[in-house]
This record gives sequence, structure tokens and C-alpha cells, in this order.
Amino acid sequence: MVSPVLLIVIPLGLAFCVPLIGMVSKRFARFVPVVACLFNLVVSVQLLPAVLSKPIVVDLGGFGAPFSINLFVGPVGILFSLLIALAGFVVSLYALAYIDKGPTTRYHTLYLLLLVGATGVVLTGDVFNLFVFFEILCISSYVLVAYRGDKDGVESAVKYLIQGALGSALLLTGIGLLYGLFGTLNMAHIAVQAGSADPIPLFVAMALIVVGLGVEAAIFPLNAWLPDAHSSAPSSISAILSGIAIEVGLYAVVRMVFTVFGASSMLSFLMFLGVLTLLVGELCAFAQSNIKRMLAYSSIGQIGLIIFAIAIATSGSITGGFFQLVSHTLSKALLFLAAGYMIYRSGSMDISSLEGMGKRMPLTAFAFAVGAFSLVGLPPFAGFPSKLLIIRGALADGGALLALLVGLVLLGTVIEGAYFFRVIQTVFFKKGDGETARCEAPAIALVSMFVLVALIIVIGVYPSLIIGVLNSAASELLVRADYIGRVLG
Amino acid sequence: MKGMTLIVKTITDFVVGFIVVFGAYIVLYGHLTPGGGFAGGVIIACAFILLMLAHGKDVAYSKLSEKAAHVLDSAGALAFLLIGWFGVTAGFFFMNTFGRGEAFRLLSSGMILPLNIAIAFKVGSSLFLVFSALAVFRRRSFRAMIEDELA
Repeated sequence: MVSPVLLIVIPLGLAFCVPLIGMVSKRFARFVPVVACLFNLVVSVQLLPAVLSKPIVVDLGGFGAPFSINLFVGPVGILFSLLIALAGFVVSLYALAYIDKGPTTRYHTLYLLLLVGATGVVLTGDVFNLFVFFEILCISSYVLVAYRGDKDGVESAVKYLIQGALGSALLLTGIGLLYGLFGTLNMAHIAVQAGSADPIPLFVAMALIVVGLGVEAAIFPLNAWLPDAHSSAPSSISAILSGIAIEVGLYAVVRMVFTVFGASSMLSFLMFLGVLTLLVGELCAFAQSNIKRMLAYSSIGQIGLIIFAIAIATSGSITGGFFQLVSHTLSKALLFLAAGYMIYRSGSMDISSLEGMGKRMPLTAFAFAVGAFSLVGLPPFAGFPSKLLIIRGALADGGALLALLVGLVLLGTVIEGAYFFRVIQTVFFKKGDGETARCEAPAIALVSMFVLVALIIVIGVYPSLIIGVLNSAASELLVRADYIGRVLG
Repeated sequence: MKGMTLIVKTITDFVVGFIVVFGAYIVLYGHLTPGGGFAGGVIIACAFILLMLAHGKDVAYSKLSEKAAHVLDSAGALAFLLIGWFGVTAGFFFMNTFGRGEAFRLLSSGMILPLNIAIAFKVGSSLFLVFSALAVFRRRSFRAMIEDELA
């Protein structure tokens, strides 16, 4: 069996090869991310059956946990690494055509580093290692947001940098406190001792860490950077930021709260925060006239929904939350990719300028519609089973409060439907006054979009394909003792 | 005349060599005394940054061109990963499989010394590139500001 270390080492090595290859041939360098993501995809799929039967713990350096850094490749880790590799692969295909101007070699290096950071965060079993990979993820995304070098890009990148750096500083302070309390940085080792620790310093550490990670996860009210950053980045990067980066932030929050701290008292707070994030995101998205800002706010709403589902902390609702995460990654990446070329052709990000796009670029507009319908939760797309599972999981518990919150979540979905249908109407049913000539997106970009379309429909029709992985992921989060036992043996 | 005054230039020319040697010492003895690849790499980068400050970028680039710095940057990182990968032959990534040598001697502690050297190349060249990027960016943005004022 291949070692899971390869999931980090190979893309990292290839990321550093990109500048060297770029010196020989710039055209060749852009294929490196495709190769790296394909490699990760294959390795993740290969590891999947073994991981589902028993999580793999990899010690680095050969000292054994808790003395060495270890990777914990459980169902959650492999689910995320699969998603990252898949989204990374599709977006890197799209970027072959889309990223043609500017310092392209640097783009590909940073893009790979971003994916390495994300993969590292989801696989590591060490808090400080998590911080390091988190910084790799964040710093490469700061730079990529400013890729075009225009005023908007630089301004939002600086905004993102300031808030992100503040978040990282809080995170690092929290980790320092944890190290002071327990003298260890291994997640499982901290988890063992967390129950008997002094509650107040432990709470302070947890608050610092959750707030620090919450900036990247875009939990309300820490999400002011997101609409700017996601809308002024190149569309391929918006797709990765919305589809991968904030999900990885969310993973880190969930892993800390569930596994490291085992803080069940925190969950109801997170639940409210989730619903609040959802409503704020959806309401702001409704008010936007800029399509990319609308999509960015919709990401905030979706993250709120996922947090709500996971914070209910029953096996059914966490499965639903992870399902929603998968469907959000696929749909939002698709939406940004499709919107990218529609914006490129119309020359403006205004929703009204997309009039008549259904005639001018029918395939791209179709892909956009599939993404939008999936995100709203229409059958037979992936968003339908995920929202159904979340609502079933939430109502299974029975409380009146949960029923009220579910009502609010449904209200959020209605708002979401309203603004997406408005865009669909503009794209398909309004006649643009401008050109009507066909100008479809390049073939390679269409291929990458239709891979996502196919996945969304297949998962929507056969949700049982991924339910098994999601169920084991849910039980990994809920059964903390199992995680600890596997690592410390 | 580009760069700073003759006094600064003369002193710089005099100390630059010593700074590089000191940096190399910190790198090579990182496993025996305080220091290591990162600290030594920073010191070596400082020598080139000093050259750039005193003489201007042309002289600094003639000693270490931007392209060479990029190559060293990537090569250092790749070397680090490769050395780490040697550990896999004994079962674990980053396992110290090289010969340990005699304690307190230069050639001891297995892969720590090669790792330190790799890090020194990576950190030294990146820091030099960061500095030169900031210098170029500042000049460029200053020029853009003036052009905005005139327009």
C-alpha cells in the first residue's frame, strides 16, 4: 500500500519543481498541477477501502506518537483529501485555458502550495503542524487573490491578509496556551488530558483557536474579508477558495471542537452561529448585483448550514453536513468556473450584463444552471439528498428549538432559491441587446465543468455511493475515544 | 554614482566575505552549537542584501542573479524533501537513517547536517528574493504614484 505521506510530499515537491520547469518551458509548467492533483486523486481513491476498514496512523521520523508528528488518515481525512484532489484537478484543468496572462509559473506554484496546505491540514494529527499547513494555505491564497495585480485584487488581498494574519496570531496564541497547559502538541494526547484540565485556561485556549480558525472558515462575524477576496480573485481561484479553503477552515474548527476539546457544551453555540451565518450570508447574497459577490455570500450561507448540521452532533445530521459539504464543493466550484467564462465574455461582473448568455454560450450556461439548482437543493442534483439528510437529522431529535432553527434554515434556502432563479432567468430568458453570436468557453474549460456536472448528477441520483464514507466520517467525529486509541495505541 | 557613499561601499566590500563565512559556520555547526540552517541562511542572505543596499541592485545581482536565487530556492526545498524521503527506506518519512558518526564532531547526527544545508539554501535565497521583490515593488509603486499625480 502507498504511504499517505505521499499525498503531501509529491504535490509539495512538484510545487517546487514548477519554477524550475517554468525556466525551461512556461507552457509545460502549467501541466504540473494537473499531474499532481491526478496523483493525489488516484492515491486517495486507492487508500479509501483500507481507511474505511481501519484508520491509518503514520508516524514521521519513527519515534511514535506523542513524540513525533503523526498523520491521521481516517474517514474524515480521506474524504477531505479526495475532495481537495478532485476540485484541484478540475480547477487545474480549467486553469490550463483560463490562466494565460501574467506570472503564470508563480500561479501554478502557489496553486499547488495552496492544495498542499489544505491536504496537510486535513491529514495531520498535530496541532502545531496544523498551524503550519494552515499558514501555507492562507499565505498562498493571499497572494493568489492579488494575482491580477489590479487595484481591487490588491485591496481585497490586503484586507484578507490583515484579517487572516490576526486570525493566525490568535490561533498561535491558543496553541501556545495548549502547549503550556499540557506540554504536548499531539491532538490525541491533548484530547486525553483535556478532560482533567483546569477549565478556564482550557476555555481561553479553545476560544482563541476557534476564533482564529473561524476567520478562514468565514463564520459570522469573522467573514468580512470573504466577499471581496472571492470576488476579485481570478475565477479559478475563487472556485478553490470557496470550494476548498473555507471548508478546510471549517474542518479545523470541527476537529478542534469535537476531537481535541470534546466540547459538547460549545455545540449549541455553534448551532446558533451556524444559523446566523446562514441567514446573514443568504440575505447579503440576495442584495448583490455583482455575480461573483453573490456567489461569495452564498458560500457564507452554505458554510453556516454545514456548521449548523455538524453542530447538532447526531450521526444523521453530521452525515448530512458532510454531504452538504461535498455538494457545496462541487456546485460552488462549478458555479465559479461557469461564471468565470461568462464574465470573461460579457466583460462585466454585473448580473444584468449576463442577459442572453443562454443563447451565446449554452453549454456554460447549462453548467451554471446545474450548479445553481444543486446548491438550492432541487432533485435530482447532489444538493437535494444533502439538504434532506440535514433536515431529517435535525428533526429526528425532536426539540422545539431545533424545529424553529430548521424553519430558519428553510427560509434561508428559499432566499437562496430566489436569487439563483433570478440569475437563471437573466441568463436564459432575457434577451441581451448586444451580440448574439455563439462564443462558447474553450473545450478544456467545458470538460472541467462537465466533469463536475456529471458528478453532481451522479451523486444526486445515487447518494448511496458516498453515504458509506460520510457515515464513517460522522462516527469518527462522534467517537473520540476511538481516535485517541488509534493514535496512542 | 549608484548606491550609498564610498565609505559604506568600502566597508561593505570588506565585511561581506566575513558575513558569508560566518553564515556558513552557523549552518555547518547547527547540530553542535546554537544556530542551524534557518539562522545561517538568514545571515548569508543578509550579506547579499547588504550588497544590494550599498551598491544597488546591479552589483548584488552580479553576485547572485535573480534566476540563480530562484533555482537555489526550489533546489533547496526539493533537496530537503528528498533527504526526508531517504528515511522511508528505513520505514518512516524523515527517519534519521544516515550514519550517526562520532558525537560532537562535524560529521555526526546523520541527516541533520544535510537538512540544515538544504534549509540554508532555501531560506537564504528566498529572503534575498523577498528583499529584492520589496525593493522593486516599492520603486515601481512610487513611480506609479508619481505618474498618477502627473496625469
